[in-house]
Amino acid sequence: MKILVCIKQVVCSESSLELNPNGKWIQETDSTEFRMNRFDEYALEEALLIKEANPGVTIDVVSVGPNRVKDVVKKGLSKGADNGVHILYEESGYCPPRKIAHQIAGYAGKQSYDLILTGVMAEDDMLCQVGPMTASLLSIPCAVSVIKEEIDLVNRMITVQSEMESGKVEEVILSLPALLTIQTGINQPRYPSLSNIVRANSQELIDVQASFQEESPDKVTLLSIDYPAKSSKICILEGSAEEKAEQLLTIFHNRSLLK
Amino acid sequence: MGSEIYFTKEHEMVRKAIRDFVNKEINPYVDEWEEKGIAPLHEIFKKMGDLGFLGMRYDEKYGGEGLDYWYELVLLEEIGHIRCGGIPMAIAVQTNMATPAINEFGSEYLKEKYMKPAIKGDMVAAIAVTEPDAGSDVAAIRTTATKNGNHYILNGSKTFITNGTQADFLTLLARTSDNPGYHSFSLFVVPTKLPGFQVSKKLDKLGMRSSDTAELYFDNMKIPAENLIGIEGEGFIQQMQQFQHERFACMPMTYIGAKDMIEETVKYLRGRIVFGKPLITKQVLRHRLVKWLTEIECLKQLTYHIVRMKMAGQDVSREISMGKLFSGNLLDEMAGGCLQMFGGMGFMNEMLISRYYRDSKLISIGGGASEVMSDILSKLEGF
Ligand SMILES: Cc1cc2nc3c(=O)[nH]c(=O)nc-3n(C[C@H](O)[C@H](O)[C@H](O)COP(=O)(O)OP(=O)(O)OC[C@H]3O[C@@H](n4cnc5c(N)ncnc54)[C@H](O)[C@@H]3O)c2cc1C
Repeated sequence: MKILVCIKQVVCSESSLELNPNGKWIQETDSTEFRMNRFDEYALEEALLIKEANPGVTIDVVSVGPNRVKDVVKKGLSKGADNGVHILYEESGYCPPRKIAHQIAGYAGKQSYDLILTGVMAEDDMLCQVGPMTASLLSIPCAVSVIKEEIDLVNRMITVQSEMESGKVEEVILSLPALLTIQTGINQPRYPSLSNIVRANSQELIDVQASFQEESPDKVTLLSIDYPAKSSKICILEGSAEEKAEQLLTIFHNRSLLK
Repeated sequence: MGSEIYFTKEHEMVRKAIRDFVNKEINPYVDEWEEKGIAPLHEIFKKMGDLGFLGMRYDEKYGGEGLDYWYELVLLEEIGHIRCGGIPMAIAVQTNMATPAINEFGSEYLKEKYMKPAIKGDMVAAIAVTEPDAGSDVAAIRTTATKNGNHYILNGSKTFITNGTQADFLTLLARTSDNPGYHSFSLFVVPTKLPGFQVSKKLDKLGMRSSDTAELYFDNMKIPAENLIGIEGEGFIQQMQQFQHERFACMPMTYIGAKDMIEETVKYLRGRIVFGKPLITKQVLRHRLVKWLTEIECLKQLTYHIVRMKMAGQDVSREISMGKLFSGNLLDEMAGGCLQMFGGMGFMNEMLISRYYRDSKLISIGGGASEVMSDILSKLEGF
């Protein structure tokens, strides 16, 4: 069984960010830090758990982007993936999901994967679209926000539970090959092990050139992005320590900061 | 600066992995463990073992990573960033104090049965040399191991044993003959689950509070003869070699911890206004800080030099004794000096500097006191 995990490299939200001069994306400098999209860590972990439970599973990780995304492919290897694929796509700045999905599907279509996993969304644009679009381009079934899955390799079926609104769960059965977008909380992503880190660093990646054939024109255009509006609202609580604590609890509760 | 001369991209990836682990799995719990006077070593070591952090240098055959001394240094530097001395010490006991002798002199059987689980984090190890009547003078130990058929019978006691209340096995030095001289001692692997073993006391200490330290008692404890490490009678010499790994581990933990201590202090000095100005503007304090930074850099360079020598297969006892001596002296001066700059606030337990101060004191005492290092060096110099 072959699994492909799609991984996006995103800018570290903790590092200080500036917009680029045309206001269409963030300005990349030598000190801009990137990391693996946290949502994809859960997808990779799920693949690793499937591999541990089923002999004969191999995991490929793929990332689309400029050369710097090789780092997250290596990170994928250091967590235990078998092969790393880098689809070199030099366009900097914002890249609509459709273009990424086109590249992944173009590659995956030739490789006969049984299962493709993505994170539920990307931390930066939060669009949740690359997964479903890739499935559509490959004409394979897709389930999103997956919180549990069970594979039946004999019948080539996969039963999945997806998170719905207000805590409801939907259960569906898909035939393989299929694509799942994995919800956070389904597992606890592991740290890279030392032996895998060392292997990752010496292992050659599979380098693939982006293919622009059959790429349909963009239907979505990014107009501009902006800094969040500065707000200087402060609120000073009054009363005794207990009263203040009560008020604070109410505020946290109203803003859904506490469950 | 300049670290790329010594460390490759691969080392840096390993460094980052260990740093992430320390920041997420250790540092958030340190206050709690310091308070409790003990850390859940089985849990911590299991996590570390799964990631391969406990057997960097050891053969892959026993679950190690088969990596070189630079990687070991990366580990020791990164655990130096743990926000206390107790946990790095517990880890270093496992990797650099209780297992090197098994690795270097132990039988296949001992490596499989004890070193492998220690590398995996399934067993906690301790090193048991010091006794109530013998610390600096190791040859004065009185614990005896008497051969009796397929067994040795162990009698005596050990004290100040780090990880002592939790250890699954001890690497222990005992007397196997009454003859004078250095060939009357042997090293053993002592499984603590066998009858006749007792933790007589968990000791209460000035510092290193998250590390459990114990007094141990052996009453006619029967241990299998195959638990002898290497050759009977060679234990003293083997232990002196094992000490080299222990003393080496002190060095990176010292210069990293010391650098962190300076950073804490500078942060405080920038914010503390005295006589109308931030304290950091006082020349006398700044000069003291850079003096220590200079010494920290020297210690780091000596450590890197030692790693190079080790990689070239050279004897490093002289350099390590100097490094251990330097580490103890530096911390003795610096920890008090930094705390002084905090004034009364430094005296408060809530400040990290007070913990550094308490923990630092051990470096010039444990693993061979500074005076013992000086004695070794004097001898090597032929004085
Ligand atoms: C927190 C802690 C953890 C420890 N963990 C372990 C462990 O895991 N395993 C283990 O075996 N031991 C352990 N020890 C013991 C430690 O190694 C000894 O305390 C140390 O070797 C000093 O021995 P001592 O305490 O018997 O001091 P002594 O030998 O009584 O010496 C007392 C002092 O006399 C001075 N002195 C010693 N020799 C000379 C000399 N030749 N010339 C001049 N002055 C001298 C030194 O200043 C020394 O500090 C630990 C100790 C502590 C405090």
